[in-house]
Amino acid sequence: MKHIKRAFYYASITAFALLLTQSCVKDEVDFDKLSHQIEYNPDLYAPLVKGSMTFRDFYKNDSEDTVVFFDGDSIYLLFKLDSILNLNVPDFVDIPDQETQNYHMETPIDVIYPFDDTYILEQVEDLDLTFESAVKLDSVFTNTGVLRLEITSTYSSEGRFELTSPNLKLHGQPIDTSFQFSRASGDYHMIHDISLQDAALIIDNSNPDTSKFNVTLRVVVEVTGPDTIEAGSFADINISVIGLDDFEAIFGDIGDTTFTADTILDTDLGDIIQGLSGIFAITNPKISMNYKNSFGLPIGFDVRIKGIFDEGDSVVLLPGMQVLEASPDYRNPEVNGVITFGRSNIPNIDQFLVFPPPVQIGTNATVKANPPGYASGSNYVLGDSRLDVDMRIEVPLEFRADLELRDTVKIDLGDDELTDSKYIEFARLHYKIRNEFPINIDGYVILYDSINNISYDTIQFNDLTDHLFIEAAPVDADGITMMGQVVEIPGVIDLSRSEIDHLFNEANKLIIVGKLSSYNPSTVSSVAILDYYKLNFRFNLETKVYYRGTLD
Amino acid sequence: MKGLTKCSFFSGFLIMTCLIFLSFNVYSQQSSIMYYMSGVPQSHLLNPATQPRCGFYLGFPGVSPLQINAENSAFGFSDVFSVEGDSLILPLHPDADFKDFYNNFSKTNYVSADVSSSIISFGFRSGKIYQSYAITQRFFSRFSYPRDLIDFAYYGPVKGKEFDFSGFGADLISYLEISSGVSQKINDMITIGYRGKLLFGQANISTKKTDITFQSEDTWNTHTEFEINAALPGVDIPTDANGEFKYDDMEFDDDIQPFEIVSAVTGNFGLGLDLGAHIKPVDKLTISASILDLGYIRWKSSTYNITQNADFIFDGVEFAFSDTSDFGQPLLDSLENVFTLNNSEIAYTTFLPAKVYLGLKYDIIEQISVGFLSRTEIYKGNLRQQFNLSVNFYPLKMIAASFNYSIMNRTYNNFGMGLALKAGPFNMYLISDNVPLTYVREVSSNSLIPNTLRTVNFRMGFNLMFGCRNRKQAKAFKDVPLIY
Repeated sequence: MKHIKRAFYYASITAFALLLTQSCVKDEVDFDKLSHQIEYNPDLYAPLVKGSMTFRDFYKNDSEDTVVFFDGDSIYLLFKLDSILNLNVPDFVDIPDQETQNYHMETPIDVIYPFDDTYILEQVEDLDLTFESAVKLDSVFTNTGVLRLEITSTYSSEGRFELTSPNLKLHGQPIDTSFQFSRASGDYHMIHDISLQDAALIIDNSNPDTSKFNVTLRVVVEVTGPDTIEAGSFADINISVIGLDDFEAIFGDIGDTTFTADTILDTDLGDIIQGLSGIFAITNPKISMNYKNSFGLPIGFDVRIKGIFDEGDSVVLLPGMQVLEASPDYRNPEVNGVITFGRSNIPNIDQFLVFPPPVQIGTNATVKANPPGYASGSNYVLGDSRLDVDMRIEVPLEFRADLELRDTVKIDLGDDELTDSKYIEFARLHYKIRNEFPINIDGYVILYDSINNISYDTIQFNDLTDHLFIEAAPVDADGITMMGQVVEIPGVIDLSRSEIDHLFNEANKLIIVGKLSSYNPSTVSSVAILDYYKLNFRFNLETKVYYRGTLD
Repeated sequence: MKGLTKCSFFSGFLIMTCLIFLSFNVYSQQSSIMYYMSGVPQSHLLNPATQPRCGFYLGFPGVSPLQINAENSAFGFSDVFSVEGDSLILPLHPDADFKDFYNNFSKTNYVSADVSSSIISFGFRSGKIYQSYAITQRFFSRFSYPRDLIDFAYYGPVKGKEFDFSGFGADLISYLEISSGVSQKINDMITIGYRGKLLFGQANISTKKTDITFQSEDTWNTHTEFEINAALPGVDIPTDANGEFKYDDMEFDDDIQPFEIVSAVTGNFGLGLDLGAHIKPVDKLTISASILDLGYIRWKSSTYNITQNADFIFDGVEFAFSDTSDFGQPLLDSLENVFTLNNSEIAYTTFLPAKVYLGLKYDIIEQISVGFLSRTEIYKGNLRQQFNLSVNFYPLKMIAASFNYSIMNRTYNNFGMGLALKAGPFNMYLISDNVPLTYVREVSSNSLIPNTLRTVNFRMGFNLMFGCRNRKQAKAFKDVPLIY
């Protein structure tokens, strides 16, 4: 038993020794030779973006040239074209300087004064006014006109010349003015200008053939007796009214003056529609003329619109004369109005608003004061009266479309994108779209090397067969979306490794082919875009990273 | 890793000698080797029925025992670094097989550290009763993370995949333990023991519950539900008018007054109990069992309770055509609203991780015994099982050694070792459950690195022991395998 114990004891000691010998250095490592190379290939499937849009969300009125407005559920696009008429007073009303009228006042017999006395010679005269274009004014208010008196006198005693008129008022009071004249030699000659500031001229139109206002002229000589006013002594007075064209206001009959303006407008749609082809027909388009008028008279507006197309064809629209509104109250003279032309008064408007649209629009606008049938004789024109007319094209979003866009754009990807793109094994954009708009949108992109004339890949907007990128909602007979039949359409845009490589490293251009069409354009004549339509979308990204690089 | 390239007795001996002084352990907070080293006075820590050999022992303050553990449960050096040709490569290297690295991870993985130090420990025999007393400072911390985190990071959020992040958790506990144990020999066959503990909690972070899932489908579906309790003296988390914690204004008081510490400690009181028994049905065979750390701490001082129960479905960033200026802001607002934290400052209870030991020992000869030990840890409803086979040697009167093979933590190559010396009344021991047997040499620094090491353990003890030569007692403890 003792031997067995001893044997077990030594066996245990041996086992302990063997355990120690198993303790060993299994390898050598060198941290200086630590490789920083790594390979990292994670997958990613991530919701990316979602949203919902209506036309109202999508379209902002941030352009001065295009405005969207809503009428109930209907949507209208309003393309503002430039001003086609700007009419100022000098263009439309002209009051010429009046001809000088001469008045002669003469002492008929010798008048003897034994003592100091006053000699008075008085005449009442009509001052005729002449206007053009059948103008017949009742009154003229001016701040800048001048009443010019040129006086020649042979009276040798001291005296004065007096002018009064109840029809000519200065600062609200009938004019009553006088000028001293005295020259011992008896050859007095002087020109006097009377400023017509804050002046009102009341015109006598009692004789339909003339316009006039009367003045009273008086020569007053202070005689120191004994003296004699010799027969034949006289005073010649030339009177003229000038500067009335710069009036503050005129009232009466402005006449039948006319004004014409020609305008050529570039639509600047060339760049926008370049590459677009196909059918685009608008339902019930309209052309509107927005005007702002502060002339106080009926104005006839006659415009001739000419659409000039890219290949030289043209269409002329003749809507006929329209009479613009005017304010009867000269204290609130401005009137804003709209003249709308549609199929009812321009039968050929559809030939004008076609696709592609005219590249230029020419207008010839004629305005005529007091057009036949509208003359009232109670007109007014203020010094700052004007008429401005803008032309707009109003397009309700009801149309039939089958358009294709083909465009080529250069790729200018930076170095960062080139570096990062090589780590992407594939990228798929999964999406689901529920579209209530009756519009199809689809297309594809061709990766193109224009230097070597190589088309590498065609990337569809939706790789799923039998589906478009965005599919139109079905519509009823009125072109209105049938909401119950709108469904969510799935799709995927797939970029393979080689396509990514071509996109970032080989192709220098993208040929983009886009298609936009209304719902079933071959059979549905028109679809309407309404305010409450929505497009709901959700995009998910699926990608696989293929990174072979260093930890650095 | 390439195969064996260098093995030598000399190098192995040197390494093993070093490891006597710096040993390594896997997982266990208390070394299982010590269970059968009943001659080590502190072996009664694993079974209160165990009676030290000598009539009296007094542990050196701070080192009787001193234990330091650090664990990374998932991987060791060789799992991360491998040699390929002339290079050292990582698991993400193109020539490496990431799956090998990935397979190291369990469903839940841990990084933990714990320190335990006895301030005072002593024991003495009185007839058939052995009484022991100790004041011990304990600190334990553990961060856990799920394997699915590795899945998510490496493979990415693949469509159709559901990730379970419920393994996330953080636990930290620091407490002072005052214990008193009694072991009584009922008769020649049965010895029983118990130990009562007063626990004074100092600081705690306890992840009571985590249920976090992430599902990648057409939408990303996230569910987060967790409950975290904390008792943090010296940390002030103010609340706003709504009672919400203002984490940005959190302050750390680095000038804690002693009365505040006393107040904090006495405010977090707990109790613990250890039970044990030895049964000797036949000569040379001992059956033993113990249950340790049946206890709790009630945390009342400086407590914070943070909970969240949120579900969020992410189906893309909302894009509003009408206003693109704050793109993404609604999503951030939603996240802020959904993932709200609920706050309170109420008391809570944490339980100690209970351990159950079942042992079987057979004394082959006087100098050698073999033992089998099952150790089961029960913590937060989870079981962690460990099996040990040990052989105890007593080649000299001054030296005793114990060798141990363990199956634990899904690893099967764990060899442990304990070494005890006694010179006069002076007793010293060093223990580890897992001594690494293979190493790699780092050429640049000429240092040795245990290549399969996942945890580091340091356990040592210094005691003064008296009354070991009492003939009567020596006879009674003739089967106790350690120095005397």
